[in-house]
Amino acid sequence: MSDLEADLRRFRLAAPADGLRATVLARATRAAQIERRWRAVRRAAWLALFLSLILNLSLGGSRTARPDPRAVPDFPEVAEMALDEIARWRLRLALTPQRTPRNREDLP
Amino acid sequence: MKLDGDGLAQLYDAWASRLLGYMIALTRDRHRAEDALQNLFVKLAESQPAIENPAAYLFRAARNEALRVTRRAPEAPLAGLEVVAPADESADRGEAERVAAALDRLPREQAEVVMLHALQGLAFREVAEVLGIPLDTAASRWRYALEKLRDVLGRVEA
Repeated sequence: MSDLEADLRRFRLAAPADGLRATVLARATRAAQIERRWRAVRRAAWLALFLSLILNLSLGGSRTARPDPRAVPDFPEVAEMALDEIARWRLRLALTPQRTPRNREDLP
Repeated sequence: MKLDGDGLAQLYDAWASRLLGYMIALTRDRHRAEDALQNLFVKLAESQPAIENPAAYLFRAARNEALRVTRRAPEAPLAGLEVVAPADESADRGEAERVAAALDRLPREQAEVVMLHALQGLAFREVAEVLGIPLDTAASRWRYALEKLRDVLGRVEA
């Protein structure tokens, strides 16, 4: 070590910081608390997002298997509905009394 | 080192005075340096870093924070700010002023090496880490700074 270096080492670069201690530590502690809470909120949000993603993925398969009410019914179903409707009309016609003459012979 | 409430207080007690001195030397403004010191401890409390080498880490963080708050700030002389202080009985206030005035006459990058190595006691490896420069560059800046300081302080190597 040179003399100049030894001379320089007799000095230090410092400034009294005791007056700031309480303020700095209070601010830092408060900031740490806010950061901890914010981290907890972010963790919860990520967890919720993750769970909803998992739920969406797991429900996705059964949802496609479920019948869509807006979907057009297939042909056998339409045919069955039509036959039911015809049968209902036939029954109604059969039960309805014939008040009007059907042909000339029936006229008075 | 765990930076909970007590850890932070211990860190402050051990380093704040030296960090503030360095920040005042960089910002040339006590109020800005105090703001920077507050910001530094708030960031430490928020990020809770795992610090292996406190000297290198803290001085680097202090430097970053000081440079951040001091952008476009006017350059004031280091002498008169009383941040260069006698470390022992053998030095007095007048000599400290002379050293501060001599540092003012060095290029900034050399003055920083002198501040960190001689006045803060950091090893060259740590100085290089703080300044983000190679070890050889730190050493050569130190040599150039000593040559200039010898001229400025009127000293002759024995």
